[in-house]
Amino acid sequence: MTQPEPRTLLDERGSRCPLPIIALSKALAGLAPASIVEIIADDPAADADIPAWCRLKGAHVVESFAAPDGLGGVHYVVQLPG
Amino acid sequence: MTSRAPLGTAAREALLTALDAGWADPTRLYGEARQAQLLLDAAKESIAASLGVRTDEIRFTPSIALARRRALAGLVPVARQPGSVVTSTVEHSAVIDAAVAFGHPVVEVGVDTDGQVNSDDFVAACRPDTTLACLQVANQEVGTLQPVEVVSERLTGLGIPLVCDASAAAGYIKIPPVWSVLTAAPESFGGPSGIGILAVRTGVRWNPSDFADESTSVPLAASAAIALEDSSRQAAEHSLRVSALVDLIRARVSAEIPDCLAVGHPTQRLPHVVTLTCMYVDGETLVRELDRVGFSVASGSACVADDLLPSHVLAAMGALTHGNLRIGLPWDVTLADVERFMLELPRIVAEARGKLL
Repeated sequence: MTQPEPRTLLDERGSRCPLPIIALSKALAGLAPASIVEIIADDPAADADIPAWCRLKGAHVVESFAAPDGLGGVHYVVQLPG
Repeated sequence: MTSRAPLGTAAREALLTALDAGWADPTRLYGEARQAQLLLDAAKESIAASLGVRTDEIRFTPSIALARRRALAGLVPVARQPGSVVTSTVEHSAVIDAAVAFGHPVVEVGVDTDGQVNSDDFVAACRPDTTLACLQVANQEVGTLQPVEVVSERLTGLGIPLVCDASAAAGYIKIPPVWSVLTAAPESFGGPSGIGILAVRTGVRWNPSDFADESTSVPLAASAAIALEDSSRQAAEHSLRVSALVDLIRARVSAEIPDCLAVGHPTQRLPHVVTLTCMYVDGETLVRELDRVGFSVASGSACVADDLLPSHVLAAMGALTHGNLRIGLPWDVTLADVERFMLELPRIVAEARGKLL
């Protein structure tokens, strides 16, 4: 049996830009290539900034949806560059 | 985001002179009024010459915001049907607001990562019932030029009027004579604020009733005319040199500062504008620190106020909306100024990051 990959979840609700991007860049520095990082953010700028950062860094947004816990914000699933 | 330039010396003198000589209402018939009319006529003639248009095509409005609204409002009542307004996602927000304010359906055409509209996409968005199209000459935040000539040629065939906002471009580049209606902002080429320029091409179906009871400030018009002459003359002399300094800043920022890059089109751009994105810092901190060492720049980010939304231009380009600097180089900028800027910026970015990381 294989262990499931540990899940990295960054809850950045309440942090203003550029803090969510800084959290992503720290994840990029600490995780293996092509890892999946999930980030929840509610700064309106994150809507533009998370996809933009991914484009600049060769990562990509796999999907994004309203945070399912009902506490607001958008949940982004990001795959780091391979 | 401000893109104002300081009032030029000649424009300031023209303003002061015209405050004394042009105070009267130019529509009256007494001596001072006729003198004010002469000053106003001279201002129109000068602006027409600078823009390469006919004198009777030039009008003034009490602000650039009003010029943008009038540019659309004058066209719409004479259009065939209440059809769509086609524009781009990177127009000045006042242009998009004006388009929305009509109640006509607004189609916003997207841009590439350099902030440039694709002319095929733009023309394809225009339908037979399209009332008018709005496309800026150059973008106010990143300096990217739009394909107004190609778009205009193809819209002419379709009978759709083209409104061009030249508020970022006038005084800095030659404005292609392809528009039906043009707007320009004296405050951005070293003229006074509180006045806008609206040019309506002869033969364009236009409803001027909006203007009936509006008076023009003769001193502001006279000053705007001198500012445009002055900036256009300096553009002819300095734009290649200044543009090379923009190239230098763009190249050095990417090479010398980690996670910093220039945004906007590298070559199809205004000669004097460079916009930088510095990841992991907020733009306001950079603006404040640069101001302390003598550089006045603007930020496109909105991290400091709850009611401000991120720049719609940068978001439309897929660029980061934080950590941005918009730098408008003055015509008298020197290589030494750029060297000093490039000495200060890496330190300022590193210190700002140190506070957040």
